[in-house]
Amino acid sequence: MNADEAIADLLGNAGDRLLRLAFQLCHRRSDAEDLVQQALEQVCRRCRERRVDADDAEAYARRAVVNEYLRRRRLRSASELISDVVPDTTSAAPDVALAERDAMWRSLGALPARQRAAVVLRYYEELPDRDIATLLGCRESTVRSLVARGLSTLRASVAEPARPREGTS
Amino acid sequence: MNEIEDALRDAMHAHDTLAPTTADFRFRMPTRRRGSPWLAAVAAAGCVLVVATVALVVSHRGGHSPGPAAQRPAPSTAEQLPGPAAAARYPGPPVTPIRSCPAGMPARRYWIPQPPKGIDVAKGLAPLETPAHAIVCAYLHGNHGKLTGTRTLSGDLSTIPAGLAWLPPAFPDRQPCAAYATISDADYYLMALSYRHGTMWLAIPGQHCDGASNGEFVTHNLMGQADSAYRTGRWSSPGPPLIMGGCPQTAGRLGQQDRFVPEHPVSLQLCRLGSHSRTVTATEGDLARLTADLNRLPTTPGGRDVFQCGHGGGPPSASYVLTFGYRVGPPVQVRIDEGCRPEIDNGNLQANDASSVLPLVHQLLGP
Repeated sequence: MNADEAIADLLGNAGDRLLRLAFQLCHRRSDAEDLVQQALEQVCRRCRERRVDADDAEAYARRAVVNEYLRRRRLRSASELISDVVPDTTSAAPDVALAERDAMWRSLGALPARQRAAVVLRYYEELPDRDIATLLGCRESTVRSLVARGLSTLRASVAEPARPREGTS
Repeated sequence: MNEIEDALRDAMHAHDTLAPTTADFRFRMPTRRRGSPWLAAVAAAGCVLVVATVALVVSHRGGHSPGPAAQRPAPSTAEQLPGPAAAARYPGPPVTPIRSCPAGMPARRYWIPQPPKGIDVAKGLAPLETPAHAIVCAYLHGNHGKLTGTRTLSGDLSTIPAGLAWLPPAFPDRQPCAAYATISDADYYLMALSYRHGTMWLAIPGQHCDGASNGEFVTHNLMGQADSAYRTGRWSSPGPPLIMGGCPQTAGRLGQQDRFVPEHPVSLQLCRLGSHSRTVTATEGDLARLTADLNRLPTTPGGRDVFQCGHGGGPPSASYVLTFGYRVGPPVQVRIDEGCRPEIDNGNLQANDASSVLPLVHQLLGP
């Protein structure tokens, strides 16, 4: 199977999964598409160099999505101010459940990159800590620590949602 | 089951509907090889998604101003030409300039029509001398490799060695891809440089993840410059460096693949990245000390596949850009990401431990 066929297969079989994972990580459609684009390019190159089998392509692509997400966050972090304030919502949720879900989603988006990646991989991808550790290039204990800190932040954020700022619509 | 975990899963899956799907995802295949039918359709509809980091930086390289430590006697010729002088060392009878392009080209990565004549191309992309004649050949839109057009470059051709001779080697597979909305992966440029005693070709693929090559030496992607030269008939001068995070960003310098700071720097500017960026100029003594300390570190080839900061991840505690200027040619930049692995990187080399240089960096940049 050549690189073109491998990518076609990968897109057909796992394209939506990869896009959803990327979206869970970055919370923006355009950024998610960028992440998957980059990941698939890496798969393509590895396939051409015969450094990845078609069977391993999805696992490789998933890893590439996560790595690319972390890399971009790192580049952005150089010129970004880190804030623990959850961004204000732009529209009122119609019911309490929806509002809570929305608050959780926004809190997830405010987590530091590696905490967010660990949380998404465990609770969205349902991966065991060992696989998450491999993906993030760290120890299992680090994964547990990242997840615990992420959950702690989420719990606190949801319990005490940020007050709407004055002057925002 | 923990309540917060349930709520988290619920929130994430509820937002699945907002995620893009393959139905609206337009993948741009990074190849100009033969395409399968689906590839042709997707590629035709595709748009550029990737930031033009490398090529953009290359187009803005140079223009550094030496600091106070630059008040040194003029270096010898050997000092001025540490790398690019390796080329054009075989003077023979004058050669006939290349004035025409091949009518077609095979679909082969970094293909050039002929090997160089009279020029050593292994240690640099091009000689540090002004060519007598230069042409750009364009093979655009994947037109089965047929020649689209030829452009003879005019004006000041000294911009060519200034822009090409100092480029460091690159690892295109390990670096960000460049992309331009007007250039497709199926485009391909050749550049023929004719000197008094030699000729050579450069392969400049439009493939946005490839670099440029003279057949042996591979450097950053140059398709932006090649495209501009083909359209305007001129090779543009290096512009001022980009400013990112408050610090200048340049393309590097030949020789940085061998040591963090190539020989004979004459100035050093230190810049702290971020919203509170700060730049200071080092004295000659600090320049010498930091150069020596950096060049003593054990290094590995660059291309940071894995970048990790601290034990729990997150951004570096601080990032610094050290810009070493030279009397001739572009500066070298060494970046330090405190608390990360690797902690030091110059684009070609990296090292894990910056503890021997950080105290002086902290001292010079202040709190």
